[in-house]
Amino acid sequence: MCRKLSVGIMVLLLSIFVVLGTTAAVAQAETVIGEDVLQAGRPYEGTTLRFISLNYLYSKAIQQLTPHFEKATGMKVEIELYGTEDNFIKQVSELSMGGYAYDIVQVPPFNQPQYMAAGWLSPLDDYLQDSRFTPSAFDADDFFKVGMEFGSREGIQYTLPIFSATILYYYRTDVFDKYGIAGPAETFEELLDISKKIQSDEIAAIVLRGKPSIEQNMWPFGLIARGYSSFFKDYPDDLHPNLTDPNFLKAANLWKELFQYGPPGINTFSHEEVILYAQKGLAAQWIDGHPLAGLFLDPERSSVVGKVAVAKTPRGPKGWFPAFSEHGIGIARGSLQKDAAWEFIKWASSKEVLLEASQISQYLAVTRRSVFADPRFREKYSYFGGTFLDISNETLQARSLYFPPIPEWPTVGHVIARALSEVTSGIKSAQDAFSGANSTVDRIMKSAGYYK
Amino acid sequence: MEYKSVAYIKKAVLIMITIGGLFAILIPLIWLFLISIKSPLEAFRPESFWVFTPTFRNYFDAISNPSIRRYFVNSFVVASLSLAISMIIGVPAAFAFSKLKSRFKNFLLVYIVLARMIPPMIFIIPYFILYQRLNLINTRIGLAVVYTNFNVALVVWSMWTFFNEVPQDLLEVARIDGASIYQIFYKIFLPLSAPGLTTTAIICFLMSWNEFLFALILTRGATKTIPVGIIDLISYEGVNWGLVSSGAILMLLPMLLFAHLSRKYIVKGLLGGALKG
Amino acid sequence: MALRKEEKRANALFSVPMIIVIGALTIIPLTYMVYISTTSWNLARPWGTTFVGWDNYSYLLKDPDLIQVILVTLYFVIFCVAGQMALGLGIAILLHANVKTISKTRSLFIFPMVLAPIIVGLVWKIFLNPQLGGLAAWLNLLGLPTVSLLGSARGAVTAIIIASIWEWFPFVMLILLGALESFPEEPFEAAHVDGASSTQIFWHITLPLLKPALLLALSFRVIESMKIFPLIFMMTGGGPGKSTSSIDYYAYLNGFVYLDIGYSSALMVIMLILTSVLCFSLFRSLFVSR
Repeated sequence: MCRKLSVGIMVLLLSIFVVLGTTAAVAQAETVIGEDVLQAGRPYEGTTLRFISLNYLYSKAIQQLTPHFEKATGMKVEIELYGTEDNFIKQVSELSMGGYAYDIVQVPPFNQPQYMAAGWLSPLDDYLQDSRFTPSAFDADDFFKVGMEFGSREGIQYTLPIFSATILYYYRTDVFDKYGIAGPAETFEELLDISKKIQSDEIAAIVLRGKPSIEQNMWPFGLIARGYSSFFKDYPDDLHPNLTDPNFLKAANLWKELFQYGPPGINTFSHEEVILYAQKGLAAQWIDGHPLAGLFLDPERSSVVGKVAVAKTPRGPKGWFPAFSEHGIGIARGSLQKDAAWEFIKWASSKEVLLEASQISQYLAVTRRSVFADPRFREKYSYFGGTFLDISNETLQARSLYFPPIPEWPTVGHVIARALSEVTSGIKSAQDAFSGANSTVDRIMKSAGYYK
Repeated sequence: MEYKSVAYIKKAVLIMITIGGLFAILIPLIWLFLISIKSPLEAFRPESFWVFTPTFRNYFDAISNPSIRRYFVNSFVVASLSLAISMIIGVPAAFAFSKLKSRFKNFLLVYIVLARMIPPMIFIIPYFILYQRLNLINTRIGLAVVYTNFNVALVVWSMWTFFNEVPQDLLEVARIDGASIYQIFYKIFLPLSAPGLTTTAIICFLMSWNEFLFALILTRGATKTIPVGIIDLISYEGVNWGLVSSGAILMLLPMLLFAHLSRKYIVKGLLGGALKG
Repeated sequence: MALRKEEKRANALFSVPMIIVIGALTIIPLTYMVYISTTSWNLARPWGTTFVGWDNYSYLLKDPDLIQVILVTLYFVIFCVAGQMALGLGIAILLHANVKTISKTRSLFIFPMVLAPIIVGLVWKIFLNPQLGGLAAWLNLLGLPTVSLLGSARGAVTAIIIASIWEWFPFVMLILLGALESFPEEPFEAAHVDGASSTQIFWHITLPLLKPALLLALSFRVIESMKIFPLIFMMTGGGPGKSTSSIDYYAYLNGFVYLDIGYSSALMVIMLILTSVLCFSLFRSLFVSR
């Protein structure tokens, strides 16, 4: 009996692997998307390019479209996707050792200055300015200017923008109606008041990312920190840390107070919990990325469809500092086939490809004006009664200094993230936690040579 | 009569405790399994925790995903290779430590444990640089060799204790009969320690099958193993829980098969066979 | 004489491959790591790497976080290992009871160990969530209030300890079960004849007989519990604050977030020395007790 069972299981396993071992057929499209930006005559035929990227909307859409590129150029592209937790470890270990394993890199937003300063990327200016490599159809001026600025350092362009993300303020209209709240909060104090009012056993007033890391709690906290104060005394002239500033501490305390109206355990929440809480109707407000909007509107995943609205993120006493983060695509310094890699980068950030990617997936963080204005794009993403696109456009174009683009930011940001997490979990007071963080950041900035 | 019923009650209580304990321990896995047979809408929704329409779509998705299939194959190859290498070099060494005179025996026994003790964190960068020089990155054999480092300690230690259990006299008698040491090892000791070999093999396979950090650093696309493949499903648009949960459950299957096939030996236990004190 | 010669050759043939392989696999990277620990290597500033001698080590003494990190590590090791040993021992004794139904469940108990540590972390993080997770639903079913572990510092530490105990008690159980199965019958029969109670038998016969197996399990678990990284990495990210940053998580933070590989290596060298001392003393007691 037992023997039979185990033989059965084994046969089942084997058959699963063998029978399904035939590769899925790739749909062959008739028209080749993005062909207009490629060099004529297939000069790099037979080359194999390797692209390392975070596993997210953009790269998954590009993966689907790559057969077009392969068909047009005769090249082969191997796309390797890594998760949010391990992507950076993998990229750092590969790039910092100067190998030639990867030709094309997706650069995480907060690490762009770090990658550029560390010399892990190859400059793109020679390609951009040479009409032999870059036909006019590519139109680099079409990119949002702020995105291009993010990918350059000291006047040299290292990456092209592929994913412009910002943060929006989502709220549940049904809950707001129930408690008679007129509209979304415009300042953080109002946000706190609203949260106080709607907090109940059934639904958490607000859910935010709380796990200590630059991508997690620093992602929304940056809004408050900048709304009240700044991370550095006076960027870019005076880079002494400003974490003991009373206004900064006020921001930290406000953040802590917000967390009291969040679900239990919010201190270790990452984007995963925020999304699940929002989708399952367990939270009334959440402040998170605008590229996620589609997730709350997808009836296959979300049970709050039709009950969500968006607004601009609240402002602080110092003004409105919306978030901005830009994923870049660049050529690895160690790559042995940079010319061919440029073909791919160009193609993967071209108008046609970005538009098509936005159509075949939920990728809406497009980086080109023309795509943003395209009727097909506007029609598909006219979320929340059409307000969504206007709000996100305004937010994206605000060009606030949400975090200082210095190579040390990932380190500094992490120190702040950890201190912040100490504050929210009540281990230390804001004063104690940030005076410690202040001296750590001071040491980092000193050793980086910003001041003596 | 009374004595018998007391024994009966005792037995019933013991069975209940065991079943209860087993259930308590398996709750997280049961939960994971429930997630894996829910649709994305129903997964994690508090009200559909118990009531939902089961679907095996997630499993179908996982199995029909060519890269996940490839990760499974990679994991299997790496774990088997590493197991083979560790067994081939570890078992004879354990035999030598146990039955032949060796001056550095004690030192070596502790040293190999040290090798196992080293946190992977420490070794990533040196191994990466070394492997880059040797062109071993992105090869399955390279990864298997790293795992060998960790598995050998277990192989040597457990087989050492198992061999210790076999009386030394057996060796002397066989020798008087004219058998060579190789014959004694191959024909007498190996068959005698089959239970130990099986359990050790399972635990070694398990370690390589599940390892994450080295697999992340020392492989690239083509040789990624399944734990890395599953962690890579975490993206900013949320974790693809359908694939994660069904992948994790599928990861358990081969191990279960092994455990089932060797259930007799598992009773004998790991390492413990010889620890009579 | 010929026998001695053959034995010597066999001895070499049997153990030299293992020594060479393990030697090469450990000594080369270890040496390299010690070398890195004496440099100022930062992954993001490769050109500025210089030999700095003891600098990384002397900074260790000044590092304000180090004491806490070591304490957290010790806390984890002590409580995880204690829990694993207690649960492993309890279940091993339970399963050793001579009841057929019970012995059939044996292989089911090793399930938790079969799941990859990194996935255990991923799963437990959501599992412990008081609203999304499975724990809450089960607690509700039993009429118990839901608890939120991961939010507070103490709770997060507890959560990781629970997950670690859950994951690794089967290892202890397997070792102890094996030992229990191989005990001679005589002392137990003699005790029964003398009319000893089962508690007396446990304390005076079973436990002394189990001592070597307990020590062995303890040594392996102590060593492995130092490597609690996957759980911390997935479940808490070292937080809230620094409350769950163990030494290997801290080394990861320095090496792969702050990219200061020199300092990270120095941390690891210190950790290795600490664990070696611990390990040697544990194994020594194991050898002495034999």
